[in-house]
Amino acid sequence: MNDLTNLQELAKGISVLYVEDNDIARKKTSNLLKKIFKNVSTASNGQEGLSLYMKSKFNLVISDIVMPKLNGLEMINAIKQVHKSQRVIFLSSYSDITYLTQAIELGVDGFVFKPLEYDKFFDVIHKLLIQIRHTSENKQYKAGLEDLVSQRTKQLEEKNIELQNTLEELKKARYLKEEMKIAQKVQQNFLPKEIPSNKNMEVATHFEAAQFVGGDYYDFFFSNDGVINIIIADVSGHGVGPAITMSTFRGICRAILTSSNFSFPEQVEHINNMVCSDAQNSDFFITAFFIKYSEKNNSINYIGAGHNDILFYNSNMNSIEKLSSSAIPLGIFDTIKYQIVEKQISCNDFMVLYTDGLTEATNDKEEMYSEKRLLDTIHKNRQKNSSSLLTSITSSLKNFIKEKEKNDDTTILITKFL
Amino acid sequence: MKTATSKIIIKNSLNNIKDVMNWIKIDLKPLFQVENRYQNLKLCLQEAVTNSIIHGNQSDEKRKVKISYFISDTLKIEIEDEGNGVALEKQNCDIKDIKKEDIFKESGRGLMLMKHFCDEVIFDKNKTTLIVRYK
Amino acid sequence: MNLDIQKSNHQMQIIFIEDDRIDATNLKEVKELLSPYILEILNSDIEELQFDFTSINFIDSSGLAMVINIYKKLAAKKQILSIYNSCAFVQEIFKVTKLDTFINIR
Repeated sequence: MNDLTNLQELAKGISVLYVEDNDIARKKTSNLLKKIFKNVSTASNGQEGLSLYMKSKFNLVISDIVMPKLNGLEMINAIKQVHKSQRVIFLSSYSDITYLTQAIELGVDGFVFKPLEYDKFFDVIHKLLIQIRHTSENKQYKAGLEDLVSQRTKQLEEKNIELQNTLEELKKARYLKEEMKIAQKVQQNFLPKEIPSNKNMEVATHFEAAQFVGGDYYDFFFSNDGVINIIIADVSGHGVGPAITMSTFRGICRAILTSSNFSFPEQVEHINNMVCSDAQNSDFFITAFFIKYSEKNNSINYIGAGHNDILFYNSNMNSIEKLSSSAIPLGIFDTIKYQIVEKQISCNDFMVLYTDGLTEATNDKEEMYSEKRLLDTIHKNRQKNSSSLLTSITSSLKNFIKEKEKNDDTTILITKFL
Repeated sequence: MKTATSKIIIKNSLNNIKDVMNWIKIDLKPLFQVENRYQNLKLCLQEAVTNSIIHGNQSDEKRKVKISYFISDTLKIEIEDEGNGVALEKQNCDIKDIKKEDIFKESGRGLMLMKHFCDEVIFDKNKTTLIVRYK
Repeated sequence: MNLDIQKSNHQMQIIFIEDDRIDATNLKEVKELLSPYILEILNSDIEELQFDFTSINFIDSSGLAMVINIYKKLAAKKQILSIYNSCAFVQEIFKVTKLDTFINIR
């Protein structure tokens, strides 16, 4: 490797002190450093580093900041009391902007963020070694002082820009964290706070976001004539993007499904059109199930767009039926026409709506929870009230996947008709 | 950080308290490293639900109680009944102020327990909110 | 809930078994089980009623109300109520509500 030989050449005669409290990181990085420098000493905390330094000076000190006994900043501060122009490279994680500003105040020659990106690390070492060379050669080139001064000024400017960039990166990381928090609040706010209270309908819901924020959405709201709209939807992907998309989708659904100018199929057409135009700019689609429950008529009308079947318990037949989607997901074609399906409701019927985060949840053996297991659980607990039925599903899921992380949002809605 | 939320509606009967405890166990028990703190939460929740069933809903079987929890960096539980609201004076019940005669009065005790075993309790008409900093 | 009763000259011990709680969910049942024994004590010259709480892990405000009710009835006849073998959680509950100031609980 050309770069390596170049570095080794520059590193001739340079002694390095490397201080890092994490044993694994220290072993790994010191082995790397030994490929460049012949003389590498290591210490596992600031105090040890300082006492090693006091025994013999080092040309370069590379140090972690957060360490027990004496931290990196304290150690370097002590060293600089003795050798003002000690060369230092700090290694630190993205955790605190004050370390960066303190380091700059102390006087630092390089700052590399953990986890270490080795090319960046080598880059910083490379630049510093050139500087060290220049410093020693400076003594011999008194005649070329002017030249050297302008070079050094340029280097300082470059280093300044570098440090500014690092500062920017740190700010971005913090900003992203704040954004996530806001997105989370947005999502918490758009899940329905109030489920329409109805003496004939008992509801139990469960929602769990996979990552910070999810792409699942469910909603309950009244429209004209006392009809209750029930929606469950899932946008492809998850994370900050889909949660913001869902926020818009919620607004669209609430506005359109409550307008009395359009029939139910027309309403879904309009919703689909809006999702299509949104989807042009970014690649996504939304699976959804729309249900309108009329207490007056004792019936539901539903339209499914690419979403998994709704499991409907028919109390008269004592069996579970599947209500299916008749159309493809929203956001793909804007010319789709939708068809309603109507279904009569009897007392003690119930529906289980869910997103594929439930049926596709996997255990350690990569087996999926699956619709079959869900059906079995529902069947076993079909006589229970809605809250106990929900508990039996969530506990059955938990027993199946145990401690394994879920990588998709999980939404379960149970609506029981009394 | 995980976020999760769940909501149930129970019929107004003390026999349903068991269902409520089974329901919270799956998501809420794992949040607590120390068993004690989960026990404290169960007591608070049971007090709030019992209050809603007996006082808020006047033990009327036809009424319902809505219970929901929200997990983010804290745990928030809301218990809502169909009553007219809890009298504001109850909010002023403070453990320090109890005189010996008062100890014999039943009504304050449940609220005392809630305030002691929970980080924060908020009463808002017919809705009680419990906040637990589980971390 | 089941009770195990032990009597001696001046004391009656009631040991609660099988349910680990005295609360809103089983209060009615517990009251019914206890009432004949309470009546018996009130009509006797037994000096102390002891509750053995070894198996009790949980008590709420309704359970406390029942205990106080029994305490008051006994106190009127100058009889004592004590609770022993209680767990830390139950003790804390009695402490918070200041009921430990007049009911012997350990």
